[in-house]
Amino acid sequence: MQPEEQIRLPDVADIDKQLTRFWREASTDDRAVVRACTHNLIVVCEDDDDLADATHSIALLSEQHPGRALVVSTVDPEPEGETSPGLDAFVSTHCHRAAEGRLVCSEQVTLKARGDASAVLVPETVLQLLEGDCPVYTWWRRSRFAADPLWARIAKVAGRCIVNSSTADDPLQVLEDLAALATHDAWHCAPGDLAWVRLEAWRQVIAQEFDPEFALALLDGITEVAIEVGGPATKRGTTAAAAYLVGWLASRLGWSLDDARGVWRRPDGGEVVIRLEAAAVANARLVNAVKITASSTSGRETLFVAERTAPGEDVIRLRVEAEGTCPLPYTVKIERQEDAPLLSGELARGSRDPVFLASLDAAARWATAREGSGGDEK
Amino acid sequence: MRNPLRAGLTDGRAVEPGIVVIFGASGDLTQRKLVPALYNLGLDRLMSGSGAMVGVARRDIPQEAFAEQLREGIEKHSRRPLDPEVWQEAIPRISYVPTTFDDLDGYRRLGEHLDDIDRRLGTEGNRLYYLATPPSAFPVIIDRLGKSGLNRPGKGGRWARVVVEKPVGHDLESARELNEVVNRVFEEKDVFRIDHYLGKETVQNLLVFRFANAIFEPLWNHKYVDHVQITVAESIGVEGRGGYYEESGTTRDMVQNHIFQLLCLTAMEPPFSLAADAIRDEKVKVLHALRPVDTTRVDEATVRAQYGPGVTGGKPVPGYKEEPGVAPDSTTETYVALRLFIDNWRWAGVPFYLRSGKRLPKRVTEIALQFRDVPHRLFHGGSDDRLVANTLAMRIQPDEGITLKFDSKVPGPNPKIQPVTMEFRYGTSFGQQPPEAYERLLLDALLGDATLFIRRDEVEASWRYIDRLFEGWSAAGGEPLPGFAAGTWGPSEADALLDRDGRAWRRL
Repeated sequence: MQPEEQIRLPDVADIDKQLTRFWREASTDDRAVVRACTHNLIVVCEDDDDLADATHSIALLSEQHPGRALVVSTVDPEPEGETSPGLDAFVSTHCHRAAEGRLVCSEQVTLKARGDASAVLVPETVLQLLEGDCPVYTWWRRSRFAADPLWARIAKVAGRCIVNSSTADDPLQVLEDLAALATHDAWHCAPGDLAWVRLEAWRQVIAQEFDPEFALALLDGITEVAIEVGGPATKRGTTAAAAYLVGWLASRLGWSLDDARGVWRRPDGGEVVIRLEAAAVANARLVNAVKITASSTSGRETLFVAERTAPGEDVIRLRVEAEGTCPLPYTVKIERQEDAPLLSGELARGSRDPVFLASLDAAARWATAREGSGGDEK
Repeated sequence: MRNPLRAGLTDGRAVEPGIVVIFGASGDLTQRKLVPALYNLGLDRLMSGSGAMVGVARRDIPQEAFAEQLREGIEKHSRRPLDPEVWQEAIPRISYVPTTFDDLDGYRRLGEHLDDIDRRLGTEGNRLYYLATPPSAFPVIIDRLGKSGLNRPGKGGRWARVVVEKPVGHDLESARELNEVVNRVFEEKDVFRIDHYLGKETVQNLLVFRFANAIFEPLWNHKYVDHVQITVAESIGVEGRGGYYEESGTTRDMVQNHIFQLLCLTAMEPPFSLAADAIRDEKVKVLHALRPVDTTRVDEATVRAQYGPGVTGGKPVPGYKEEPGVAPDSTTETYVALRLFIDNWRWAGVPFYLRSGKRLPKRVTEIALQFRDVPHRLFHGGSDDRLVANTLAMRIQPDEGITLKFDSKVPGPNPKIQPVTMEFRYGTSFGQQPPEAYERLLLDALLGDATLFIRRDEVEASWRYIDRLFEGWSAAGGEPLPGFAAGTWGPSEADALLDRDGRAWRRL
């Protein structure tokens, strides 16, 4: 190995010592600091800007799920000359005042990789820094993962691999890649997607619309699903949110996909029309409205509408339009959809969520099929 | 699961359409607890979209004034602020029916009103009646509900349930009478007797702690446990409710319900499933296994006392007998300590010490299992003196959590031993704010899940034990109760109760 290529490894023992010293110094006679660790979270960032955003989210997350965060970022190559491979480590803490007045702190170790160190050194260092006996989660913030050499090595040590398809350049590719991994026998890291978690409130209100007896009977007669999603159209015409919602309804209601035409059929053979509409909001993560039309056996149509009171607002109004009945509209609030609470929801979930996996599979198949057949969104 | 779209949701249980009818709608409980709980359930998307609430009370007030009253209750007491938009759309679902509780015509009007709501709002004939009235009104309300046919679901409905607030009776006889009335009108599966302690997250965690962790249950018996202490301490006094408290006292107000529920969950055998009756079967077995008090020697196992003047929270406070509504020669206990035994295989010979009182130094509820000493003391040279028995303490409120005390070597060349504490605190490991107890319990009642509610036989078994206590106290004569200064941990007689057994109360 040439001297200039010598790899600078952070001394893991030094990192541990720094952390120990921090905890000792942080507690004083009149102020006890509680170090809490419920998990390890490996966060792989895109760049330095992304590192700042990730650190902010980790700080918020630590209030709900204190743990050890190992954050990996790559230093931009120097403009001139070669960058010698290496890793720099920084230690920091996130503290918050718990309900009973104690100061509860989590720790973050940031690893900045230079040159080619990322794929070679990061996994090894991360492995040494993991807090023993605590579950390991990976939060992959880079837009692509399947082709990234770091992905497989990091994911190998984690029980959950969480991505965010809604921020990817090609969200449907992420869904397809995730779906492929989920069915791979040798892959043990349970996949998760913040774009899916973001839809929990929508799934809940749509489910709620179909709780009454008359509505439940109409689940088998859905003829059309119209979804309004914000943001500019993606390369392949739809967003992760829309694809997940369609995949969820299809998998829960037993629809089958006509691959050649990219259309869904109910168990009775009837076709379900999917309409994707652009909402007047810039944020591609936001679903603005879901309108479901269902037809009874007598041919009477009922429209179930769940829509934000205004684009971007966090209040959803539910209403049902049907001849002869006039149920009152119903308004519910949905939580702000930042990364930290979404990640918190994902960490609180069991390791493998069969509803997610089935929805992911249906969404990915639909995305592939409709690409071949051409979309039908407005 | 009826609705396939519910699968996999964080809370996949669906509340069916229905109407919540609150009797005593203008009262404090409705304002402080019930309406804020319903509002928060709605915010969490846990209520049905086809739901409604009807208030029933004596006062004749306009609909708008009633809705305004509820809005104020939410603004003052909800754990989350009132959202004007959400509230605006809730208003058409709220209505008020004024009637006296014994007026059959009032119930006829109520029935017509509920049928009308079913037609207009699609509430499908389902009803949940909540009795938030003084206990004296329970029998007449239930009787009139039965006579007017409102104990049955409306057209097309599947259920009509009733929630009964504590206290259920003031002794075994009155509890039986009330239960007779209730069960003449409602089937037991539709009766939800509430004890809000069971809605607390940490109380529910007792079952998880015991039955989801393999390491504790093998130790949870007479072979390893020396004794158990359950404390429910309040720092407040009777807070202007002297008249009510004179009729109840700590034993009826706290022991018969809250403390006995904690005792049951601590001592019960593992249920064969988490079904409501499987758990309640095990709880009631504990109550049946309580060794009856020897009424001729009640003083050996119990202590009653009253708080006198003292200082709490840095302020001087009056004694119980100086409180408004309290008789100057009152013999009602504001403090009680009990030693009882559970005569079954698991707990043979293990004393359970229970204590509860008002005007104690702090508000704290805790269950503590103290384990037996090591069989042979190994560490000599004085270090044994510092050995303490292991204690597992479950804090119910405040600072909910679990601590385990054990002995550890002090660093250094000498074999010094010091007790240390391993702590789990809810607020430290889980950041999210738990829902209020009433939210959980109302939701369960709407879902028809009776696990966290008290069954008839539980109520009667606990009163059977309490009645014998009163019998014994009565036989012992009406001597004045010992006093203790407000803001202290009770009378010296309570310390002596444990001291006689070579034990001491935990310092909390």
